[in-house]
Amino acid sequence: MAQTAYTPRRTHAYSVVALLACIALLEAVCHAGWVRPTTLVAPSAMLKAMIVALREPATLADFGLTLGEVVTATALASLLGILTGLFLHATPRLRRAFEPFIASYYALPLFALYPVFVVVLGVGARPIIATGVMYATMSVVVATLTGLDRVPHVFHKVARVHRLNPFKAAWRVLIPACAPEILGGIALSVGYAFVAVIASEFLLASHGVGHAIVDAYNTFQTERMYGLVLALALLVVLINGGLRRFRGRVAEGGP
Amino acid sequence: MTLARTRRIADIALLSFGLLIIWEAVSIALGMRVLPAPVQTATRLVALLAKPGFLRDLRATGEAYAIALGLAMGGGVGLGLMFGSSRVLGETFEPWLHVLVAIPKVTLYPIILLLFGLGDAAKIAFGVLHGLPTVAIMTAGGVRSLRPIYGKAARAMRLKRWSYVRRILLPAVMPEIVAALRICFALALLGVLVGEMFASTRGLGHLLMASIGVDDMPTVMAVILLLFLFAGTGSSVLLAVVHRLKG
Repeated sequence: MAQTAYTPRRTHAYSVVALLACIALLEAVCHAGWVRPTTLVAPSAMLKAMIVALREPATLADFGLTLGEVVTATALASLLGILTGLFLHATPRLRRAFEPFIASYYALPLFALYPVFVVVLGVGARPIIATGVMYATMSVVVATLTGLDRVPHVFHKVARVHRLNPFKAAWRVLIPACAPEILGGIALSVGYAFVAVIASEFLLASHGVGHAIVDAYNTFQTERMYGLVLALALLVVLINGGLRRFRGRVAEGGP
Repeated sequence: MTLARTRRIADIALLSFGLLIIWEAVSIALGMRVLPAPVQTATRLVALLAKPGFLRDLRATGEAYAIALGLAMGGGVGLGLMFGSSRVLGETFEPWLHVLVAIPKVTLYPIILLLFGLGDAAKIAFGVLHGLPTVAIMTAGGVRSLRPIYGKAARAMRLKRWSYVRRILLPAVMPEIVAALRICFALALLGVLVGEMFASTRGLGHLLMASIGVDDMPTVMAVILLLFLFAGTGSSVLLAVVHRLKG
């Protein structure tokens, strides 16, 4: 059935050529003066603006802050997600009832709850981290459930033979057995944490990369805005590439 | 079978009730002003649904969402069929679709605003940007996993390219398309709403931001509740269709 299936995920020579062609076209269009420089700036100008922006200590601090929020949110979401996954897996009836909630979870603009977090957690990084946790947790829950479903029945038997209590069984047997799926889910959750953190900074906060981009937009610094977007996009692509490699390695080494 | 169904529905109702109680408890702990309780939220939602201003916002969001969903599905399926059928096209453009899926798209919104101007076009474009790449990737995946016998049969019957697409390719990848519709349904909604939350003057997203600005939490919760009911119902119905199509 799947003998011809392949997924062109890796960047292929053609795709690099296509990208270079697009960049060249954009550069030409901008230099020909067909678009106003307040709307679209040439790729070379974007690159220059990015380098200028990244030389400022304030911008670097913004990037550091955003990354720190993403890492913290992912760590908390992983813990919360694995625990929730284990709990839901142990209670199949509850899990089946939860399915519609899981399915519509990511359609919601949950960062509208940000004001609630601000009142509870105060101004600053903490409400943003809370929003990130909210978004990132669900993908870990789903991955943990998928992983637990794939654990062979004999593993449960072994845990019972050794008379492990449920906590020990989870820690010694179940979690290690579905580590590849869980790690895959955590890698995915980094992306969700990024989206939530950047979106909250963008719409509601007064710090971080998201806010720096809005600030550049509102003050008509178009070049700086494109430079920051480019820097952030490159960062995300880099992190995703690394995580994908990591996931591939984990999947190969898994049981 | 029907017994299992009723039991499942009863379970979902029970769980919803449990979640409402948790919501109520958290709201009591934090105070009604910070997090309005379920009853307060529902009352506000009913009151809002009678207001012409709210209905205008609802309609603005609904229209933009319908257009964005249509464009994202049409464009995504079209591109997916192309990328799936042609190896060169797939290898050239699909890696960039994966990049587009991964980037937090909010950061691209100022660029969309500059390109499309302030107004409905920008938020529709933003909704399409959220939904289209995933639909294209899923459709292309569906085309690639087709059994080669379908292509052979089409060649044996000397179908023209268009008839092949319409009579064989589209029906064969229909399960993937419906599965993609379910995901696009959620993504495009989020895209349109986030688009309305920034630099917009109407729609539910704008109402959310305006309510946050004046600390009107009952309205915020009422809008979130309405969106949750809509997204939950839509995605459950589509999930049922996916299960039926897959047999």
